[in-house]
Amino acid sequence: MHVVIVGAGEIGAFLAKRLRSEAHDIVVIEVDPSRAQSLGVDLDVQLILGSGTSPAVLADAGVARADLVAAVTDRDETNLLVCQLAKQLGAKSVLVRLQSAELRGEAGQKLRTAMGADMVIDPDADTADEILELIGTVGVDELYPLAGGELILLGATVAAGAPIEGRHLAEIAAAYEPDWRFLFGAVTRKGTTIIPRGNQQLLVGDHVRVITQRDGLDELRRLLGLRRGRARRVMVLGGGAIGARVAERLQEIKAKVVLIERDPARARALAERLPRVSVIEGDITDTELLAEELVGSVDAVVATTGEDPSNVLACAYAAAEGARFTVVVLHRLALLPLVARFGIDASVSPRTASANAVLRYFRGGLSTVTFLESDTEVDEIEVQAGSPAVGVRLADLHLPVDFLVGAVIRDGGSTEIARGRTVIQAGDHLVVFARPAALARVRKVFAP
Amino acid sequence: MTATVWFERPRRPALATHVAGLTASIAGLGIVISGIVELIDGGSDAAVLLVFGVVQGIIGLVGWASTTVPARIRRADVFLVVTAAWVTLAVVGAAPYLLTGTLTQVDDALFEAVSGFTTTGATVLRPIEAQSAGILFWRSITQWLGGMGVIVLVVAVLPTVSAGGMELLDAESPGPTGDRLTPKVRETAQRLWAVYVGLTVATAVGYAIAGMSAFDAVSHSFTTVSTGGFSSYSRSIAHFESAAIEWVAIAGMFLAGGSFASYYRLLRGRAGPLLRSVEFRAYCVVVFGASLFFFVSEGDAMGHGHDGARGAMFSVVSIVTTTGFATVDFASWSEVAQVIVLLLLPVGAMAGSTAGGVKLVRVLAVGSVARRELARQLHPRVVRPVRVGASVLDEMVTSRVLGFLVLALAIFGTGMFAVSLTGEDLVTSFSASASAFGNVGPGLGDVGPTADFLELSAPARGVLQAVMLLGRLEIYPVLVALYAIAGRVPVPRRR
Repeated sequence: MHVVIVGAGEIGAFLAKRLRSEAHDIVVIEVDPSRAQSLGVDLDVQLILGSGTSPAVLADAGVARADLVAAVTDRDETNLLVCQLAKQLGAKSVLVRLQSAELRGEAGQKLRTAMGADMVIDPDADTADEILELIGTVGVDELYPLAGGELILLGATVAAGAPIEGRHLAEIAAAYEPDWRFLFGAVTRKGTTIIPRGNQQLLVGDHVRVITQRDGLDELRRLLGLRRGRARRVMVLGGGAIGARVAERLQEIKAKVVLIERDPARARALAERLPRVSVIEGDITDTELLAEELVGSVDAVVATTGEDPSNVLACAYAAAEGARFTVVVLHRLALLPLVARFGIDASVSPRTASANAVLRYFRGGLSTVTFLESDTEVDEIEVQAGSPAVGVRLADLHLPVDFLVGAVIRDGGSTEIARGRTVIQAGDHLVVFARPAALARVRKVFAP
Repeated sequence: MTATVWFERPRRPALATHVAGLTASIAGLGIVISGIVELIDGGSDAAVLLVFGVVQGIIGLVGWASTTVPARIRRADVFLVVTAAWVTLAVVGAAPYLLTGTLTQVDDALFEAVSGFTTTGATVLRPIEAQSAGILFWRSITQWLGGMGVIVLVVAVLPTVSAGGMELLDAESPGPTGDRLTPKVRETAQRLWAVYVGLTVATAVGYAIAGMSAFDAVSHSFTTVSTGGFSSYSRSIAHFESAAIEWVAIAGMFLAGGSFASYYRLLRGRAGPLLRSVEFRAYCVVVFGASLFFFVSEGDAMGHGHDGARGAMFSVVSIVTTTGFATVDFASWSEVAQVIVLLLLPVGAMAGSTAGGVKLVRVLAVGSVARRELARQLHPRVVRPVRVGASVLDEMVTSRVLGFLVLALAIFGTGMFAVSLTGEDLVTSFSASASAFGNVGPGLGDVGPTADFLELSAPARGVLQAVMLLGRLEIYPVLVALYAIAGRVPVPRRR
């Protein structure tokens, strides 16, 4: 497939990398030479230096035969213009990044239709939504609803004293025969992620990703040794697009929110917009201020500024002071190893948040979840009629090692956790844990 | 001397003369109408009123026609113009009382005129029933003109005021911020007056149906909708001894205490701005809460049934809207009830109404400021805008509100002190000053609802006149004009 990405910023670069790893043709258009250069060194993609709002540049990039044009610069106006130009040049589908909530909402619907936008993403809003999912279930550091919420992909760290500590996956599975309601799909230990087999032992500090049916969630939480309860008192550090949205949604559900923002004008604007949020003007790394606002006694602390080091420092301090749950927003991967070491509970990234949305669209509405620290991802694959896998038991398919079927969504929406004895049917959607390389090979098995 | 200066000189007072001239001729028209009423009544004052009204109108028109509005209206001009227009009104308004021999003292006549135009309703006429119909009608007209404001009327009439017009409106209309109904200030002023006239006509019809004579209905509708409180009877509304009339008065006063801009929107089918307004809710809470309290606490004096409910409601609405009509003598109520009356005297009703006083929106804003200061003690760096309901008050507006309150307290305190110097007791001094500032009219003690202001000495009445004017114009225009005149603030030079 031919993909044109306009804007090689955080989102564009991550998108290019992800799609390139699935062997698509990628052309990236970037106006800033230094940014373009740094991308070109890393990736095998075609780079065009120029403005995406120039029809000549777009034509050069082969927009006319593009399956997808992604307008992901950090300016809404530019993205909308790129969208319209690309549609006029004949692009099949166009994805637009829009940060203005108004343009994304109902009020902007007419404009988006007129411009020909097929899909709209907002990384900041997606990130905020992820954060909200996380602080909605304290102790879990990743939570993605799949199949309309019937299945949940959950990431968490095995706590000391958890019932599953030191046990093998096969033992745990045996305890729940014959009906499994969840399945461990990936285990990360010391920065390395593997797709586990039955002989895998779970240790304290292991990060696990589990696919679970909704009614298995409570039992799973118990097994992982997680506390229950929603966050009622939350401290949001940083009042940018992400922080503001998190605070706004928390205000809607009547949580007590303290928001700290450095810029006086921004703080004032937020205080006017969010009447029930207590807005404090100050620096999030000012530990005295954090202590004054009792950072140690809140249910959750969310650091959302654009500066990774500040976010990590503030969350580390909060965790050390005794905050029950801390979430950090990371824009780059560099500080990721520090997160767990500082006792920070979870990290989210705008780039994965939006990449998930884009990949989902790219794959025709099928879910995709990518993670920050590893290239293992969770995908939804459709079994097409006439595929060699139809009518075969999963165990007999001899799938690759770095590939695991976690759950099956049947026609009509019923779900089941995958077993070796599960028989594949045409029209099934499989939720799989996989590395992208394995994914490309396995897709063939499920196609006619 | 350059040519520029030579041209500038005569133009400098042009706006003040222009507006004051038109104001004077509007007042002249009012005097002519009073003369016609007197003529119909067959009284002896008709000729004097007609001649003076016509002369007055012509002088005003000459002043108006011989000047123009400057291209740019400066802030200092706005305050000077408003103050000049109101001083003109006081003088012009006092003349009919003197010329007809109704009052013989200049200061008494000025008091009656100022009390009229500021919609206070305190009177020095005794006995009221002895006065001629024309003079009584003129009293009502002064209140009616002062209610919505002559400047608002002038802006509505003047085709030339554009830039700076909103400041003029702001400087005269009650409330901390101007409420623009349309992009054009002249249309805004016209619509406000249209609503005002409409409400007046409705009240007059209501009074007539409830049993008043045509003369009483019109003159009382003028003083009801302007929340002025002059009556042609010394017993005020109680004279009619009619429950129906009292309910019409309650409804008229209550409506006059609401925001006229939101009435306009209501008439255009948009009820939201009024119903969602926190100030309107506060207005209802204060009126019904206080009524309920008086109904219970003063039930023994007023009766526990319909009479008591009506009496309590009438008194509360009359005080809160700063009208000053009376049906019961609240100066004879229990101590606690009198304290509540004292507290209600300076509060006033809604911003953008014809009521005087501090206005509920300011009270709500100050409450928000107080809560912010409390929060700041705990969280020194908390950012908390001042809110009235959901809407945020600009810091400039907030500080103007606080300044207003400080100045109001100072003026009220000075007034009280000055009145007490003339030998009045504490309750009288306190309530007379609060009542004058709030443009209510009656107070407690010697100036209770059944008394008139002849009980006070002439110097005390002089002080109270100033307090009334400061209260009606909400302090700033008058003080800023004095400040500018005194040269403390260099008036910005026009280029």
